[in-house]
Amino acid sequence: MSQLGLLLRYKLMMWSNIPKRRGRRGMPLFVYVLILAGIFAGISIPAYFLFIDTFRNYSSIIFNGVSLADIFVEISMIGIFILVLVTDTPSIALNIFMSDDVEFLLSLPISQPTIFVSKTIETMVQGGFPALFLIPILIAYATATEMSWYAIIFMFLMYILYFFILTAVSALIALGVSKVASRSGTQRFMIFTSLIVYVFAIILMNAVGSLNSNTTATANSFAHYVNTVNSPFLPSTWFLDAIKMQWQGILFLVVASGGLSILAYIVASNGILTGFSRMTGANKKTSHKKAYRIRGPIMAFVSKDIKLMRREPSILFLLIYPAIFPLIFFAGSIFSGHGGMIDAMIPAILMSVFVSSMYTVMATASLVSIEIKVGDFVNTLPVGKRTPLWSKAFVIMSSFAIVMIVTFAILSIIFGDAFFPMITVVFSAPILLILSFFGVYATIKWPNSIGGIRRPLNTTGSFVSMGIGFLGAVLAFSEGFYVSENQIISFLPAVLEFFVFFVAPVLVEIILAYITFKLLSKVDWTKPYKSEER
Amino acid sequence: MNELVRVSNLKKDFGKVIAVNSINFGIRPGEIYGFLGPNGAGKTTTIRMLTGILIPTDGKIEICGIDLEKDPISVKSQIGVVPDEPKLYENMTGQEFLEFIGSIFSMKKEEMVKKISELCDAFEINFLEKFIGDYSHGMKQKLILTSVLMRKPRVIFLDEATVGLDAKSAKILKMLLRKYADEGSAIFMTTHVLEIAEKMCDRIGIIKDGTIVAEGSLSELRSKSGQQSLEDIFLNLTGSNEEEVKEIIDNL
Repeated sequence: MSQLGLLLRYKLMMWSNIPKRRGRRGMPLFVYVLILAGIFAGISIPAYFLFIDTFRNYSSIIFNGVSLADIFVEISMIGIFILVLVTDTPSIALNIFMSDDVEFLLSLPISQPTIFVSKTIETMVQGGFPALFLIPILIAYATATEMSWYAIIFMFLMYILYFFILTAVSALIALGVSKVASRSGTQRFMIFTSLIVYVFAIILMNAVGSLNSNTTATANSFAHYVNTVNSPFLPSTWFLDAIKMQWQGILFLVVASGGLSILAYIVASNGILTGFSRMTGANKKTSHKKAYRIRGPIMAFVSKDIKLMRREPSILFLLIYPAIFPLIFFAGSIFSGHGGMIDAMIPAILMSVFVSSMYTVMATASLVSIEIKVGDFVNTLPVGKRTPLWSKAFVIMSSFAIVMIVTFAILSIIFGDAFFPMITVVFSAPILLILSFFGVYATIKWPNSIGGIRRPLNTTGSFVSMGIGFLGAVLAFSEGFYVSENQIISFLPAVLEFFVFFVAPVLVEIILAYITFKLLSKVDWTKPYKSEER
Repeated sequence: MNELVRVSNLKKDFGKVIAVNSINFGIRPGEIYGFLGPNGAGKTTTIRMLTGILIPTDGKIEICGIDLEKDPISVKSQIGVVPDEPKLYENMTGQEFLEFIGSIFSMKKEEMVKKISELCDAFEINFLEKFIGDYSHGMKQKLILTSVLMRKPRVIFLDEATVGLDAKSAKILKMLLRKYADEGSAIFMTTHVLEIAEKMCDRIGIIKDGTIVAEGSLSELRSKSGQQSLEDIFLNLTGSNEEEVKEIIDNL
């Protein structure tokens, strides 16, 4: 077997060994494939039907000789280029130029280009997933513009060439990044960019949803960007020209993809070693006089957890979502012109409560994962076993409550009604505390086999956490809405309504708290994995 | 003199595997106790039990006269632990980590600053403002040593503490440990470098398959075994004498 094949086989073996490493049986591979295929089909098929109408409508609208459908394809291509570039560049930097794995491979009699190609394939398999979602858009375009089957095959060949350009550019930028940035800085940047892309995708999906409803407005807004989007220097323009069988487009795409790939192959593969000899910043003598602040043991934990939370982008983003989602929702409702302000406020607040509840579990699980990653260290400190847990639950609960207060204060100013939003925060706080403790339990009960901070829970844990988060949100929203509105369903007797929307949720909340603490008392959070070491 | 560490019939099993089998020993103030053994003999399991990380299956551990099982927090406030592989919070700076440890152990700020300053000079630490995630193994080792030594605990546990340290830092560490012991602390250390144990330790315990097979001062071990070097004594007790090693080499 060739060295490249051997390296890829060894990587595949490593991935398949991850569940076994923790002594657990993972799901069979075909189940993963089925789930992924299901997700892909679930998104692609509706997207195809949405875009086919869009492209049919847009293909007759022409600006400067270019149809709106073509412009839309170009914008999508530019979008996917930026999306994959910002997520893959730090990923390539970490996986190729700063990886311990590569450091080991370099000590073996394997050529640098082989290592480079195998690691690039590996990174693109992991990071290139978003590019698949352009496939239904391209098929919709092909169907709407009545392309022949061989033209569709040719279009996907061109798409592969487009991806070669993207990968080569990513690799070259990653080489530069590896020379100037530290590993931890690049890791933080990678998480930050992928989360930005996630928010961007949600905003985009929200915007795409309104495309068909207002064709003229969309057409006018696109008209301003025709010349920029259709610039002859952009690979997206070459791609569009190529799929229309224009020789300049095909030539540019072939030459650029070939040239850049060869350049990346030569420069980046020879540059692997430079990543390992990078500067990580000069050391300097520390001034000890003013730098230290002594706190009590509990406050020391709280302060430490706030710092760790603040510096972990994945947790930070979980905190930002409850503020972003309701505002996107709110803006969508207002701009669609349907309903009044109050109709916009209720879903916005509901959304924030749901997102906060579900992400409280995830954020706590991430923070506990950091502690688990550190291992035995905390056990050697003279503090009670529950101190680190209380600290984390308190930090996460307070942080989400603060985000909710700020978001709801903004919504209150807009709506001129502060009572409903603020009473919802009051009822959410105890739920968030229970959920954050549940997050601790979930991390121990259903840890991700890789032990990650971004995805601290396995599939079962994620589903259970989402379910519990959902239940928590229903309880908090129901209590808040009842106290604020007094009457929710007009035909229900007042006593029954009081019981259904207030007493029952409070009782469920108490039961949930009891079960959570009972479950927590049965597990040792400092020993999440069985150890057989001697 | 009262012992600072007293271990009685300490046992740990992981299912059918007995990792530590009813061991007994004590460490007096001023003593450096070397705990030696081949890989997988039970050294790390013992140190993890002594520091409250692992719950023993049976037996009793007393540190500074306090029963570890009954009052682990009081024990932990008296000890310092340097693990073989320091895993620390990667998103904290060295300075923040030391501040955290100082707070947990309720140190006085002036005293802490003075000790950190001295230890940073000694170990040539000039990277405290960087994130721990960017540290090398040796840098992490120096940081954790500083966090332990700045408190001057009554009992210090070190698991392969010199691994990753440069020659000068290793030498300083050895001298500091001797100084701390002379001032009344008890030191428990594991090492695979027998020269270190030979030069530093007042008493040595050798563990094999979870059982202590020999214990005493170097001169006591010499007179019991009739061999001069610690290496010979160790290899003989752990079932790998010179002839056996030679035979293995010849067969390779």
